[in-house]
Amino acid sequence: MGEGLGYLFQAVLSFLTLSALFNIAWATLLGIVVGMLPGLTATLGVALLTTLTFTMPSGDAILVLICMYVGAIYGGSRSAILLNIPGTPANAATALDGNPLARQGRAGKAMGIATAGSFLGSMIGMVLLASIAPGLAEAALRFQSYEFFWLAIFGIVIAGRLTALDDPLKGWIAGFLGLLVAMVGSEGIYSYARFSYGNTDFSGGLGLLPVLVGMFGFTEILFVMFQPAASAVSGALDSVIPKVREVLKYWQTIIRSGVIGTLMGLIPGVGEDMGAWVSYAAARGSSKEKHLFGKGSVEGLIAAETGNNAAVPGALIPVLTLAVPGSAPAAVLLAALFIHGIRPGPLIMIESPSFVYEVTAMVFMATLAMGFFGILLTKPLLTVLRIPPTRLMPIIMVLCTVGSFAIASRMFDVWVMLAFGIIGFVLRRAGFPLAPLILGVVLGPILDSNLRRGLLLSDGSITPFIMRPISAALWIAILITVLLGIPAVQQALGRLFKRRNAISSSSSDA
Amino acid sequence: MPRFEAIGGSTLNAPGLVPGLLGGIIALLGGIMLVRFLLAKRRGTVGASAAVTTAVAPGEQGPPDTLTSGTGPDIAVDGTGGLQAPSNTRVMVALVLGVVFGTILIGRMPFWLAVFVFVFTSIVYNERTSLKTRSGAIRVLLIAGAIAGATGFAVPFVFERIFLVTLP
Repeated sequence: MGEGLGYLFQAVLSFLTLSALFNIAWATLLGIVVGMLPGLTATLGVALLTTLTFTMPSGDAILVLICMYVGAIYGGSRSAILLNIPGTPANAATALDGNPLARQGRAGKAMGIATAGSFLGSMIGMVLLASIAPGLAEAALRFQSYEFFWLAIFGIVIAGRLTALDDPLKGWIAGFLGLLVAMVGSEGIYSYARFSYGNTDFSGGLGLLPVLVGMFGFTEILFVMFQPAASAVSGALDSVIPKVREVLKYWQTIIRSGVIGTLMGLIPGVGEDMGAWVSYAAARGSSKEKHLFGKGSVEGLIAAETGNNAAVPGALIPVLTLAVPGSAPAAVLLAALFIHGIRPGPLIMIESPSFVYEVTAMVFMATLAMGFFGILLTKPLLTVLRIPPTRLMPIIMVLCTVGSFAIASRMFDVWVMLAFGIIGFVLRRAGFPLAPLILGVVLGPILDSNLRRGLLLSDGSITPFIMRPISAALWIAILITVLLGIPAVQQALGRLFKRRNAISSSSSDA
Repeated sequence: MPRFEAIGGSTLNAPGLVPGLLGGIIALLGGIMLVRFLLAKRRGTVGASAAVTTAVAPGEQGPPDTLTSGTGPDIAVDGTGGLQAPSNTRVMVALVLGVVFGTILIGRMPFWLAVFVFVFTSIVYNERTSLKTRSGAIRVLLIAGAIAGATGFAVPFVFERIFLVTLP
């Protein structure tokens, strides 16, 4: 623990140089702007910035990307509050109470509360990142091929379930489609080309970043062009500096939302949106002011914003310790780590023990910058919301094209981006969530190589896949998740609980 | 390419094992969806459950579904660049322009020119409602030209000169 604090302190000190502070400032500010603009998500922001940071030293590049990530998740609250359109999917819950507050003439207060919530959420997540990640990395050292195979399936099943609560089937189909997409190209054991049909571009596989840029860039552009635009709530702005007493009044909600957000971030592929929604639901469930939720509740707003920003460091925990992303932006960050020669995974605490704390310090610095700019530049930043989407979207399209091309300097990646943009649009229109698909693309190689390696090691026996303790825990969790997603099982459980409640209430009456 | 047996492979590590399993699972899930659809059709409830899937906590109000409902937020709409109503035509035009830019324009002309043509055309199309009057048309053409010119200059400058990234 003491050693960890030492690393953390050293890392924070190393960011107090002029160049690091400059990088933190511009990347966080750019992240806030990206988050504010409907149609630009944190995932796209991190993906496009990844191409710009190719030539940077690895430490600077990761710092810039984390600042973009933290800034974008926070920035989305501005458009959620003022436009009633979440800037990123993570801010959807923010709109429920943030926009009513703005309509009541308290837009400044809503933005101040959102800033405080995001700041505290990031800080709670950061503390949990520093405390959970080393232990999880140590536990993950016991993982073998069997466990990694189940972990990949678990990620798909849980992400499919939680990102499509009203129809998990669509979430699972999206996830397995993502795994299938990852099968294109040379496989990991013999470098045998699959689904290439003699084409050298296909033999190289479909890159994660072009697929991501297509699904979170081109798809978003098509959606923005489809939907009607909205203008900001206008009028004079009240004070944006939150009152400490008003924030601390909800200290229990803040801590609960911070922990929930971090845990949601930790679950593979689930990410910030669920961090916000589950925190919001928990806050509503335990609130004394339930009637205010959805009508401008400060507690609801603070829960949503604490939850989504706490999920950012939460999503970095599996990235660092298991090389499995906790969210879509974290998937890009994982790809960026590999590009810059950093190998996250169970060995991280052995090979480079200071790295986890360096990332924690990066989150800390990004959070400070986010709070600083969030309060200081509130009014100037609002001009961003006045940019008509019709003028912005063509520029975004150019950036998506350049971003896809720049990764490997091949036109094939631009075509992949276009194809997946169209596929993403069709899937989203049909109600399929895209996050499990992206997670599938990341987890595909892990699933493939570990299943085949595991089968070879066990000489074709599936016993180790079933009987090893961690494997057993994972497949049982998968089974429970799948069963709970079946409507007939849900109804049967509902009837069972109702009957039990009726029996217990009648026995207490007696 | 040599056959897989020739490079020492066995059934247990065959490259087609996982794609085959995944294909089977997707077919199974797709089959369940089809059966569910047919059952709903027989009961006459098709469409009732076709609500768009969004990440919503159990029992909670969902996110404002401005993406697919087409109703949009309940606030004044101005300065929105002509996006007043949901439109499939706009999506199709954006899609065609994007595909033309990515597959035809790039590589056949200097990158800055391809960017200029794409951005200029997109903005002029999206703001075509303003072209009806002479002053409106001049304003839109000037704005589109300025934005397209600035993008055509700034993107190559920032990517190639500052961040040393290769452009198409």
